[in-house]
Amino acid sequence: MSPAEAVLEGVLLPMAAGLLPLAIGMRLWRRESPRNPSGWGLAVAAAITFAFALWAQEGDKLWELRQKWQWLWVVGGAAAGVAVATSLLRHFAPRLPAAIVGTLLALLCGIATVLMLRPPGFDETADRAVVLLVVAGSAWCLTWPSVRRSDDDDPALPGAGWADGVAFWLAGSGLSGVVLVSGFAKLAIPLGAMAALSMAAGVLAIRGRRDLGFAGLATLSTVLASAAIVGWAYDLVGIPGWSFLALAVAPVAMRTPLPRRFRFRSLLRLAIVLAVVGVASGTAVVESGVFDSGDGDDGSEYDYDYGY
Amino acid sequence: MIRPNTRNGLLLALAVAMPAAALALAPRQAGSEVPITATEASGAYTVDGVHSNAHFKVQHLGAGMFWGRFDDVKGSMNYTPGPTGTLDFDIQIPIAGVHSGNDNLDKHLLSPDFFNATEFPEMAFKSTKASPAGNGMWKVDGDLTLLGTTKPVSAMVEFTGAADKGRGMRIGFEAAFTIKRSEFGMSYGVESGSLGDKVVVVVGLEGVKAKAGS
Repeated sequence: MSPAEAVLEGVLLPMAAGLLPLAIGMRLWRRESPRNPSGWGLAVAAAITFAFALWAQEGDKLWELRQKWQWLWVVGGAAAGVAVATSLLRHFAPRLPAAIVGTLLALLCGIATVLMLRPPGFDETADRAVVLLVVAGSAWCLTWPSVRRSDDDDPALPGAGWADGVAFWLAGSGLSGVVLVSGFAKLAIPLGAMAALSMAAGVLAIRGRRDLGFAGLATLSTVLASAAIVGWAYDLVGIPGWSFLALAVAPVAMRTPLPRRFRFRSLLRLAIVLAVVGVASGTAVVESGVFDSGDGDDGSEYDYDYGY
Repeated sequence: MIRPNTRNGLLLALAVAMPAAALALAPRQAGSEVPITATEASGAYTVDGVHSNAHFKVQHLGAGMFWGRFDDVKGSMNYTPGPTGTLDFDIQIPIAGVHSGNDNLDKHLLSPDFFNATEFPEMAFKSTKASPAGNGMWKVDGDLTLLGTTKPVSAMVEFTGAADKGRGMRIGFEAAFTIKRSEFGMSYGVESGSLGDKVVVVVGLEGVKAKAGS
């Protein structure tokens, strides 16, 4: 299989599988952005893309869940389920305060992750608390504006637009690279597929200034954070834990409060995300020592390429 | 004063006794003038981790055969020689002992792409049935546990020797078998054809006889 075929099968096909629910959920055939968008399409798309991409790497053994990291696709599915259920709740109970809906969504995503994902070395209560905090915290920060925007009483709030898709693309790509450096290609490639889907969602959101919605963002942030924790748990090359955590929460920088007089607030926030991703990824690569010479040094400066 | 006949008698006694003592203390090995008896060779053995190791080979990019090795093999063996003899293995191989000759490749082999050492620090083989196949060969069936998956495997095991060279009674075996790694959940590179699915495993074992009561 050539590298081009690997990208096609591992990244592009899983992303393409997610595009249909994404397009339906965003109602792309309509010129105007749908009212009260929850982003269920992106939630379903993210779960499908991630599971498909993992399956492309692992085959049918993925469904047996014999290895703890394989639970990631279940976590992605559960997060999508929680997010879609929350969007339905928002639809059928519009008077429910946004604070309750947003907090409930973030907490359920965090709790689902803690219950299903038990990576090695995260068995203590304090470890579980960190997982809950990272997943629920980032989900809450990211989805809060969209949850409030879906409130009829406050439609003027800024939603999650194209820049959020780009932010997830940056963070997902950075995490994919770091996980690859740690020697975990079977997770790195699905993260690449997730990043590609995020970028596609961002591009599609430009039409009609669509809101990516809280359900989609909650799913993306849950998958990103849980994958970062898994990457950290299985790392054996010495990448600092904070690199993984920084990449997990990097998209939260899109909620950085900036004065309204700034014209390019989205770009400024993206610059912060890029800086966080750059520092975390750069540190990870340096600390991993993959550019150091190994025992079998053949004199070349770069000997990370094993040829497969 | 020692009388001549007495001195001669002592010399004669020494001349007889010393070779006998030397013979008794001398290292012995299978096939030597003083062969190891079946009774001496029979018993329980502890695997000598320093002098035992496991090698594997897998095809790389459809071309060459890539060899890797595991050190620190441990476990126990039970052996009774002869046509009606018995042979049992209970072997554990720490995944952390994998060596390929390249540090970065070793780390990749330890990752979940391959052996997932964080979650599964050991692989194990436990024999379930063994029968002599003649010429020092044994056919051994057993269960191989890798990545938390246990599958039956059959190995041809060669008895390579038994000796006591002053460091305890020792026996040696060499086992060879082939597995499909994807059946154990190690499928990285199989579909793309970059790494073969079939893995040949060769294990060299040396056991030192367990002391009675241990």
